[in-house]
Amino acid sequence: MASSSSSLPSPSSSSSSSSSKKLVLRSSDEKHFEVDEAVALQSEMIKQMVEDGFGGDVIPLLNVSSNILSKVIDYCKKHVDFDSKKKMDDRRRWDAEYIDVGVDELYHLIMAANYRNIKGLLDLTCQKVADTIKGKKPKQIRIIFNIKNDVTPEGEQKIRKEHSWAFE
Amino acid sequence: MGRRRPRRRFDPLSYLGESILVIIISLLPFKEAVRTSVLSKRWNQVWRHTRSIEFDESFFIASDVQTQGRKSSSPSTRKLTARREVL
Repeated sequence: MASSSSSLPSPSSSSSSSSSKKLVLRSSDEKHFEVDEAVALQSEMIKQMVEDGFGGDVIPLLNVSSNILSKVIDYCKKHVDFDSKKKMDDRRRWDAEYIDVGVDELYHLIMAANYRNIKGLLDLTCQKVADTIKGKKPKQIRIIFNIKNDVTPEGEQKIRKEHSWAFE
Repeated sequence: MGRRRPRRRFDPLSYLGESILVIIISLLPFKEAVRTSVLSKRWNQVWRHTRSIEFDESFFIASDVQTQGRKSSSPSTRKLTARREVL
């Protein structure tokens, strides 16, 4: 049955339907989130934990802060909804708006999606990075992602010469 | 007054694991994946792990070759070079 929600210092309690089974997730900064099991099971890692019998306890997510966990839960909730409706256009539009975030947040979402094994979110976040890189010059890419250029000018020339067809 | 040390800005992609960089690189057209080799030392070899390889003739044949005919051996040489490096 549902976990005890009344005692939880829950910053975000998603109780869309009180009858469905709930799981409680704990972020790295000790915030608790009560979510429908179907939402939490979007994460393969949590699915495995539930299958192994840990679903009744608070599930600790040591590497995910409450800000990011809240955003990840938003994604999972919406995608449970999309999965049942199969509205591809709505999904694409929602995803595009969802992923319109800064570089730092994008990094944390990738890490959370990878750590919790949420394939859809990992695909979406990696695609965003690739789309950001596409069509840009190395200099522009370095600026966007704060990449420190530790290649010497001579080294860069050598690489460019070696793969000159790619830099034409 | 002491000198203020310039604060290094967070470079998120450098902290992603190799497997994630490979996913990202595999979502790029092959030519653009190769171009990431100059970004930094960290990126220098990542493109070699791309799972997406395109063999579009236009990548390998210089634009003036069509007008000159195919006397030059460079297009096929270029193609072979790319294949060897990927494999």
